Amino acid sequence: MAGNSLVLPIVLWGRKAPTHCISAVLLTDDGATIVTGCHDGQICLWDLSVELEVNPRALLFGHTASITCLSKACASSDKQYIVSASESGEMCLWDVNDGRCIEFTKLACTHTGIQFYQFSAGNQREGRLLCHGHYPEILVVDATSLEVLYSLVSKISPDWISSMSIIRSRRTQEDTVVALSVTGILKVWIVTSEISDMQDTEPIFEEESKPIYCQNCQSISFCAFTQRSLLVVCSKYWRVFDAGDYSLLCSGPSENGQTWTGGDFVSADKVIIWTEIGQSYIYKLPASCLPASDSFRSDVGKAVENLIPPVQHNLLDRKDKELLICPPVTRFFYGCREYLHKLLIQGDSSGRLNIWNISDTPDKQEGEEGPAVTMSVSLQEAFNKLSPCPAGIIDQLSVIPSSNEPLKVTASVYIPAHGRLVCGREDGSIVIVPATQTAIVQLLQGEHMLRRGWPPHRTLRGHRNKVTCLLYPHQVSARYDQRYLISGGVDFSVIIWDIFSGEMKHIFCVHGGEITQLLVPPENCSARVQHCICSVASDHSVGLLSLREKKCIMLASRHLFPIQVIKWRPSDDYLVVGCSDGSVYVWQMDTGALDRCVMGITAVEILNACDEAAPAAVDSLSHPAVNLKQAMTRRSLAALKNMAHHKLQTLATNLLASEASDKGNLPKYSHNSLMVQAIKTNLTDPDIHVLFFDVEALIIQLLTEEASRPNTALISPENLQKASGSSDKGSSFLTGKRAAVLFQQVKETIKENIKEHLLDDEEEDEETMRQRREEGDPEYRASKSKPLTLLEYNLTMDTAKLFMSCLHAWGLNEVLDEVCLDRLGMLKPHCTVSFGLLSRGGHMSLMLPGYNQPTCKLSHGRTEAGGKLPATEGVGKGTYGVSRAVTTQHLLSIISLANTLMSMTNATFIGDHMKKGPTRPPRPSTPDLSKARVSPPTSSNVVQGQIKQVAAPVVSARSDADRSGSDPASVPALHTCFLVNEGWSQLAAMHCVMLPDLLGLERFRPPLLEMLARRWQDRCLEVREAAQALLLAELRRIEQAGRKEAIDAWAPYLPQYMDHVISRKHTHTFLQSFAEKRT
Amino acid sequence: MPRNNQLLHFAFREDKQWKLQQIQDARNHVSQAIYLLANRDESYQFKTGAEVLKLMDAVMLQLTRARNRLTTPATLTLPEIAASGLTRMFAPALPSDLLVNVYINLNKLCLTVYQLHALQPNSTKNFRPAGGAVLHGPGAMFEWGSQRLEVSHVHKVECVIPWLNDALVYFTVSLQLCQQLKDKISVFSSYWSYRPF
Repeated sequence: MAGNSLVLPIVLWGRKAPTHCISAVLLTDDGATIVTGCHDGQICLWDLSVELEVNPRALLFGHTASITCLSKACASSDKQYIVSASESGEMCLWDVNDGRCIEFTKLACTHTGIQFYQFSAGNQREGRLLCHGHYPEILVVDATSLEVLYSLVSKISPDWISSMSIIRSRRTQEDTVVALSVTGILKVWIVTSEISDMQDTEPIFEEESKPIYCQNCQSISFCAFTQRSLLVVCSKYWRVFDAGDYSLLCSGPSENGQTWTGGDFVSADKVIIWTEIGQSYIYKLPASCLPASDSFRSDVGKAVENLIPPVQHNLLDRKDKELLICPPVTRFFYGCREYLHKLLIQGDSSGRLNIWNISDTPDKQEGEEGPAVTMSVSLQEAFNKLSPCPAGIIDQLSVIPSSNEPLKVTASVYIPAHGRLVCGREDGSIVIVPATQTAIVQLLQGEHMLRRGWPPHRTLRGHRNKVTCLLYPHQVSARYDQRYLISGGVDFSVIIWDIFSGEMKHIFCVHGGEITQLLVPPENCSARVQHCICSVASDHSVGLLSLREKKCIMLASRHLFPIQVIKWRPSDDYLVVGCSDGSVYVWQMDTGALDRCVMGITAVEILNACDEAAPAAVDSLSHPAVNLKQAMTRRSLAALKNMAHHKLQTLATNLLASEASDKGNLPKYSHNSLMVQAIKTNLTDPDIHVLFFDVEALIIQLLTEEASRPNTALISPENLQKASGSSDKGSSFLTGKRAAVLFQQVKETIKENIKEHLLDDEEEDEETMRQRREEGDPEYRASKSKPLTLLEYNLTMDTAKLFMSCLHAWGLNEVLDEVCLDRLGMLKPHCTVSFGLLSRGGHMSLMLPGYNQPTCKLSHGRTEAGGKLPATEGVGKGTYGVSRAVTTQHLLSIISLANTLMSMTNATFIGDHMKKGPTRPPRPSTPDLSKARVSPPTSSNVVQGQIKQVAAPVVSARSDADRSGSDPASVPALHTCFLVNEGWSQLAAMHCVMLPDLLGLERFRPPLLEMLARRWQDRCLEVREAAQALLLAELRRIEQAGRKEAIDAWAPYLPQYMDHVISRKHTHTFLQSFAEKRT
Repeated sequence: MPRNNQLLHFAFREDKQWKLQQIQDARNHVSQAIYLLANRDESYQFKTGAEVLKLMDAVMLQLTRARNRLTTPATLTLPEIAASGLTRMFAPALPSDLLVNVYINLNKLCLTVYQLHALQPNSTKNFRPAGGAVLHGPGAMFEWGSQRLEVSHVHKVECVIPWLNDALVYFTVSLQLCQQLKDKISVFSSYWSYRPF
């Protein structure tokens, strides 16, 4: 799992499906999932029902280049693993059920084909992946660790392998790998002989090497029916060979000069061959190719022209003739075991899957049209048929009168300090909107639905057409003015905006192409460059635009190829530009002179040297997925939080000394629970917005806010010291939290003075701006008075509201739903929320909208649990039927948050500022006034402590399903407060113990014990408590039999109880899981 | 080959083949690029700009790869060099204290000869195996079999090959042509996709 932190993504897809130009197709062994890889590096999982209904389920992110091949990677039927390889040499092992990345690696060479092979020695089975690609060997890779074990090498004329097939012979118990090199030489390796010494890393040489004169070989396949013949498809002909001595049996030409791209055996006497434009032909083989017939091999040795031509039997063609921008990918899949369809699956450049079922094709006359497409669906169609449409983040603000489609968001940046999302759109306008508010509108039902133009927002107009990139420099470095927002557009201009006043400060027109990227130079540049931003344009130019001088101080514009990467050598005053062809240009920033232009090994060395000098200043522009990956690693929420946490601790100790100095940079600590990241799968697509919720940060924020209410008793320095001293007994984390709380309290008093000044300045700007706007809506004005101020009193609660409302399993307990809506102020989602799952190394899977649309259940019951629900019923009920890892994360989040909210005084989401109407909200100088108004001013820390102490027993006692509510009665607190707390407690209880019963085991995937156990000592107390309660509940649920099973499953991994030598595999997995635990 | 002031002579064995992988890879990449381009009928009409861009992307990827294979030789570790087939390609066989690597860097064919000496097991020197590099310097250490070895001398010979120079120039020219075509198409496509608001 993604490190230690509990981060959950929620994705807003928008109406346009992501571009999915399919480059590889795979059907999993159970026949329930189709996997497609695309040229942009994403992988799509599609659910396939027995009736051949197809519904896209999830999109997997992680590869940075085009997917070259997909293969299954696991032989067992209870888990479905696949491996994917990309053009840039990455390999990734995925769990198909939930899209988790299990392992990933990167090699220098590209794989073009992977086949899974299971070695068995005695009772031991080892999965291996045989890979071939742009190298002359076949690499044998371990299917669980993705390590290269050894290779199959050619002694005679080694060359790249263009395709490969594994032949299993029942007769000889000998498995052979048959491969064809790009020069048309057939190579044979025997692989069974080496199972005895699996440790061996010596290369294996080929048994046989025979030229068979096949140019441009596309595929090679072995007849599984007769086990006697091989089909080799080349671009202009196809041939059948005897698998015993590789002699030619028959040959077929191409039809109408088309190019073949692959083929396979449909049955013992039929082959299917498909072309580059997506047509497939079924041929009946002549008798000389059929081992069952008397005339088998009767034609061997005759000239190719004399062979009996095979009979064309059938033609399958695409139904719709929409224009494709590249050849479609076709693959044929046999049924296996319980799954008897023979399917021809074709994926094309528009993200469409065409499926033909050819199991029961009756014999037809020659040349007759074959069966029509059995099933055809594209990602966009799947998006279109949904009602309501998949939401985009600011759809409600982007309605155009003349069209049904909302304006597309083409660039976005999130400003966590203000909780604002800035969206650039295709008409050139930029919208600044509170992120949580707009997400609530899109995801949840509520009274905000009645208000037009909600939430309050600001529109900046200046670009003449599409905004292509946005940058908020202050977020990257504090040296920039926090008012400045930079935007670039297709109109070649870069504009500086003042976000507080909405004013356009300056327009740069220095580039001769649309702006593709805006970057911030690193810290240690010269003073002049420090106040610049760096702009990259599609005319292959790079500019340094000074925000202070309002002019371009350098324009580097002689690059011949698109710019792929910008790096910095601040110590030498160099700007290093890497182009897509591998050349590197070194520019002197001060003079604007081109210092050097190099390529080859020197270029690589220069780029690497920049990395060593300043690892943080790397910015790759090559691919959106790279950016995403970097964004995720760079803005790693955990790292951010740790840093903030650390800062707070040091600040708190030095507080009295440095009170006055830090007035400018109040820690942005309180806004990290939500991050909004825009991603594009393809540069031409509109933005997709992913909301990352950090549960731990949210809990800290909630507690911080709770403790930071004006409480005069604690603010004196003596108390401060006493409090921090007493908290030493707790864990270090708690100390930190307490310190943060105290710090916040002290800060409140300091802030009084600062804020007064700050706000008065801004108020004037507001005034002028407000006059400019014709808008008369009082609410609009009300919100205008406090836009983008430093503190937002409701951001945390809004985030929690959005998150809890999305997580709650609605519709299972009507009473509880009522309580949630009325008392707790949660809102029902419009439709199923698309969650995501983060896994190792920045890999991410995002559920597609309508992932749980009815695709009928497979007979053997291995389909999505939520599948059979009617659409209306499918709304809500949470995501507890998707996979065990998802359930674990979601349950942990909702229970720990509910417990946190329960421990707070009257933590209800009602009292939303929607209700306040035109009255101006309180100034941030009294930040908690609103909350204090709703809640009675009670809450000394003593009472809080009591509530909290009570909360823990509630969690543990809950498993008895006896929530008499008598426990909280011991608190002589207020009635409302009690009711709210009880609501939270019920909510937590339902998700902790009642979910399996309510949902039924059919639709509930139980949480993973090991994931819970790993959080038994989580550094966040609330998460820890939730994990413990969940683990106990789950252990109780699975009863003795289940517990015994769990012990049996884990016992081998405990080395001290083992008598015999631990098998290598077990040690390996044990160490792996151990290492994961450590990290 | 100078060693202890005596000349050693080696020749490639007659009975074995060894291929300079860089050349083979470059050739295969080029032939893939040619296949992509020549695969279509001459009368084929491209229908959309996106189609051409996609084709150009694929062709340029192959051409860039081909050129990069020649301009950036592989960074190998010393054990990898020792294990490579080249070591066993000579008659008479190479003495155990010599390693040979042959590669192409831009338009030059380079031969490096590493002279090795074994490190004593009880040596006080800090053993640190060298990573991958195109050219290892004297003092680079590695472990081969059970032995620890250190490079004592490095000899490098380069030879300019004129046709490699030509090939690189053609690669650059063809890549530029492709890029210019792409740039032109994108200018037009952004013009066509212009939507007034």
